[in-house]
Amino acid sequence: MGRKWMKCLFPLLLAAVLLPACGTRRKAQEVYRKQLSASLQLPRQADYLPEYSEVKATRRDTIRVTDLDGREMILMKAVRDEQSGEMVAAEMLDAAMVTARFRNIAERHGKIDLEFQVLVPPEMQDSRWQLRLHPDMFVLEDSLRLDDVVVTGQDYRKAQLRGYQQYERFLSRIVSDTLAFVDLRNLEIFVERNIPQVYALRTDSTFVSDEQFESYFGVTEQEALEHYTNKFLRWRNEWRKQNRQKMYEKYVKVPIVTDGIRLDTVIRFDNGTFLYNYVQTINTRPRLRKVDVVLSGEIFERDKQLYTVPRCEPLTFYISSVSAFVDGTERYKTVVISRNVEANTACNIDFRTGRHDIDEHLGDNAREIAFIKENLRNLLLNDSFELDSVTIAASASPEGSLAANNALTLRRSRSASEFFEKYIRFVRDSVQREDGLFLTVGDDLREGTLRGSGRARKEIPFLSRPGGEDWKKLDALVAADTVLTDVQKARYAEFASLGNPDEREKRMKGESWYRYVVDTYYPRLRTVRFTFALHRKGMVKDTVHTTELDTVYMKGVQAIRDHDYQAALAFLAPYHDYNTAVAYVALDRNLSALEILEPLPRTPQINYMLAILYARRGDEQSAVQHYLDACREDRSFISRGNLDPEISALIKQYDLHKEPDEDWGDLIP
Amino acid sequence: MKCRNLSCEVRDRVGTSLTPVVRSRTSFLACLLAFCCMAVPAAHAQTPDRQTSSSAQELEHRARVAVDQNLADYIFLGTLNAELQYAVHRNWTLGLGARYNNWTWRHREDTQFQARQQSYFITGRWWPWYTYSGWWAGGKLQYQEYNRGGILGPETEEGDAVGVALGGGYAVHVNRWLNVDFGLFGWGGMTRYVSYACPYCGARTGEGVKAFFLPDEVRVSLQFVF
Repeated sequence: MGRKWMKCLFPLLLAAVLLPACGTRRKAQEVYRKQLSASLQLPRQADYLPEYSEVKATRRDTIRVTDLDGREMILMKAVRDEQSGEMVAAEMLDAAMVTARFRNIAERHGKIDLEFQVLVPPEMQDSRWQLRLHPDMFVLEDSLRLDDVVVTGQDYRKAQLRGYQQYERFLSRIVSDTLAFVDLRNLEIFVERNIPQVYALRTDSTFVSDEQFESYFGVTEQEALEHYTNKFLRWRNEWRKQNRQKMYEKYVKVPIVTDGIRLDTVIRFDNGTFLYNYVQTINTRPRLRKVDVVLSGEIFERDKQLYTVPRCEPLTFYISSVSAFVDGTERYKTVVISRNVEANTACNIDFRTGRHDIDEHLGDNAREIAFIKENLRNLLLNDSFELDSVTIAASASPEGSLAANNALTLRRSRSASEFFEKYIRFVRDSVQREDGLFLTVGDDLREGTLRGSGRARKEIPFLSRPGGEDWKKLDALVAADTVLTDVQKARYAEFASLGNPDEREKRMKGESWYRYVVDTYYPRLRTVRFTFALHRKGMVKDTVHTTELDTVYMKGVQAIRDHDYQAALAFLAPYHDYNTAVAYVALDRNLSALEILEPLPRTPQINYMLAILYARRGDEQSAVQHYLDACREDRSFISRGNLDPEISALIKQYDLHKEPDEDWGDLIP
Repeated sequence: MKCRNLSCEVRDRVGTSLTPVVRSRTSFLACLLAFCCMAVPAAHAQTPDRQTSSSAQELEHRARVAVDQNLADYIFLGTLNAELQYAVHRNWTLGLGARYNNWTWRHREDTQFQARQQSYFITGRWWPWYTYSGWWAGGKLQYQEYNRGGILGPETEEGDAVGVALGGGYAVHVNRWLNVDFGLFGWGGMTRYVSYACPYCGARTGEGVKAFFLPDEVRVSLQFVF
């Protein structure tokens, strides 16, 4: 009896192991024979054109029946002929499924949303398979692989997870603490017995160098540690560490990938079609009119590829962009050029208390003076401008009487004037030496004249002005201060109302914050201000009006062409004109766009954009009106209307293109 | 240590006779050595703190001396034994030792047996890692006066043997003071012997000088290290 059971059991077990494999193989062969493929389709859109016709159930109009005598009879649907009055057999043909392979989509904010559906027939699904589907996008001359859609069978995922578990178990056997390999008990006894000095410090955190203590025969603790370390275990652990990748590949034959995957779903196969709504947002780019999307892929069982899914028919997205409406006409602006120009600069030249002579080595004077010298030299040798004069006004902090400070600042201004006059003479001499002399010889070679360079020859007058106490600057500094309290600032403002600066200074001295103001802000009031009076070389009139290309505006126009509407708006917003409206339309800022476009004289482009704007706002009558106006003036907008979903919906709703030759004016009530 | 020289016999109730095979002074010295070997490490083991607090120089000299008591010898017909070793190098110890068995079992009965001996040896051991730790291999120069018989058969032999023993083993740390030393020795050499037909009948079957090679010692030894 037992033997019989055993005899039956073995084939049953064998069959249980082999049958599933055979089933999968047969299914794969079937898929290969039929060359099955996943497909793409467009999702239904309620707002715009219906892209997908209804699929109706097949109705049978003719049926065969057998009567009681066994005769076969054909029953058909019959209708009465209107002319002859006879009943005529009529057969309804099955409805054909028409699937749209293209869609018009609109660019919004410089981006396009491509929406499509990925369909996988049930024949291509199996619990032990994984389908890896790759949507590819073709834009202009580039192709881009979009994120994959992965459909994973339950058993396939189980096998993947089992691999990960095995790998986890392997990793858990890797020991990170190297002390795990040390025979600590024997080591401790050894150290206690032979290096007792170290053992006595076992509870002490004091650092002891390895060489500091050793056994009688020169063995250190480190050597002992090495001896009592199990070399085999350590080697095995190292081997495991080094072979992590190898073992990963061994156990995890097919890793669960998350990067570059749009969807990795585990499905229970119930013989239904798998459908996934895929939405891909892409940035628009110049000349982008069309995007094709195709789908390809593979079927895997474990790490073996069973089948290459053939590439499906492409879906095409036609992209409409309002950037096509940009007005690229060059824009010029009028510029008024004055002959006389003034340039100002200030520097903090320090003076010793009560002194007016310039000390180059005091404080930051060297740096400040170098800065002014550089300015002076640049202006003196400038090709476009001629330096006429330099006005120097030194200012002082409020310490001391106003009269004394005025006198002091005048002296300091004069001192600065003398100092920089010397520098101007130095520059002039160095330029003269640099340029050399020119000898002009007459035609007869008998007479010649020598002349120097024309550069920096002109005498530059330096005008000194007393800057006095710079209360205005102090007011500004105190107002911007973050340390003083509001009460203290109010107190300061109270003193500011006093007419006499000396009295103001005196009153301030009694305040607690006076020292802070003196230390922090008074040094910044001791400045020397330079005003350079210039005129344009060769210019006689005081002002000249000229036009030049408005580069800011043209940058905005270029930004629209590049579909960078935010940048375009940053450039064009102040102009508030047609191109600004184009940017607004692209950014869906409809009210702002309407505000600009409505007052403008009507052109086909303006009418068309108004049609879009009104359609977005739900004012269909105005939208249709403007669209038809645009088409009347420019027939190219008839086809353009199909590209924009807003207009396309209107066309569909009102049947605007049913008869192209129709006078659209009749459609308007 | 000859059969005929047995003079002082004490018969106990179970038929075991404690018969000295050496002169009484020698026996006394051997017993004293065994006692000392057992007593000294015990005394050390009871006073670890004093050792820990010793000066550095004292500490450096620790763990150089070891005294062994082979339990396997005691089990083998109550052979008293002791061995003293001293570490002279990281990997070398030198030592000396003795074994003493003067007992005749089931005296004057048909099943009498004995493995009486007094052995003296000097020994050297090589420790691959460190003295008194782990594996070792060793050798001995040994003198043995013996009288053994009745154990595997009635044949009995007595004589004086000199030879060299070779062996090896492994010392397991138990604590700071104690190891358990496992080992095995075999030895060979020359012996001047007299053989008898049975342990106590006195019928000689042969005598002379011969070479021999025999197991010498199985060690399951308590090794006191100090």
